[in-house]
Amino acid sequence: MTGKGNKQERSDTIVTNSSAPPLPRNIISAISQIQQYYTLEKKGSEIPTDFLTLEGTLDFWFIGFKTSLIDGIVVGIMGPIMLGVFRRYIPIFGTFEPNFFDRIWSLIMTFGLTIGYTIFLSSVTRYYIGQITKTAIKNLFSGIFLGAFLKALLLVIFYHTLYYLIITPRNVFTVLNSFEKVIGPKNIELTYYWIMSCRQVLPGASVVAIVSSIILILVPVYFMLTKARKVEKKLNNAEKWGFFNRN
Amino acid sequence: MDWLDPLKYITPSQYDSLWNYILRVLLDGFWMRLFAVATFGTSLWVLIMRRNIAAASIFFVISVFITYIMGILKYFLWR
Repeated sequence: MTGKGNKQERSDTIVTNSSAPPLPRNIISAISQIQQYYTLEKKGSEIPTDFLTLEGTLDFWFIGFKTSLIDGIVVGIMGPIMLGVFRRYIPIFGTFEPNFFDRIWSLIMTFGLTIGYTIFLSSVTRYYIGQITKTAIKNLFSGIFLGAFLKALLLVIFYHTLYYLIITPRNVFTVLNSFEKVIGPKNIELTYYWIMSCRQVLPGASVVAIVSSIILILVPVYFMLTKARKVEKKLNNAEKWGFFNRN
Repeated sequence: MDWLDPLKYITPSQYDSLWNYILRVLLDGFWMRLFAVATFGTSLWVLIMRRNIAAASIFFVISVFITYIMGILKYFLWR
């Protein structure tokens, strides 16, 4: 903005583009966009409530939901494998005797994505100030929480369906018998007992799915309740002492 | 193009045993674990720094393959 004459006057008002912001494509771009809104609102810029638009709001929700489901796919596959490794039914690095590193590694492979997402989401909670930022975070989190709940529910149903209806002794025996010429009669018995042993990990895998959902929900909520309040208090104090003016 | 053919320089049995040695070293113990950790780390780096989810997924799948499948393959290939 220019003042009278040739002198340029400084203004604390940041002029923003009035058109809708680009829609985030994934969790990382969603968090980046939240950081941008936070920066604008912290400086005291007045952003209209409808700046986020209905489509943008729904997009944050959908990205959160999709993130939870992707995490569910990883936990859904890796959870039973991890339990199989711990119980020595499934080999890891070519051995049925996992050492300490192997056990930790299988834990990391299973929960790594969940913990990564939890860290991302917990880091977002410090931006929970300002109208637009709060709306974006609330929508992102509500998508994640609903996705986490649905993920746990679907995985529990899936594992118990496998356990009680599909991987039954009769079904396994029937299928293996049809492959007798390929596998050979000696290996059928071994394969049958191996499959029946692996079947025992499925109830435990349900618990793994529930635990990962609980981590994905509770940890960001905890950080939101504690960290966001601290930052809000800090900004209020700064405003009170005149370090900056939010309005 | 004959100079590209390794069998011009060593016998087929030497060639087989060279690959057997290399793969037995790579598909066992410390090196297999190192490759699994390296691919998993690359997956995280690509996801966070490059923001490329597709490439990160590919590296993650490779890491899972090295962790769980390579050992089984080793069992079938080198019984």
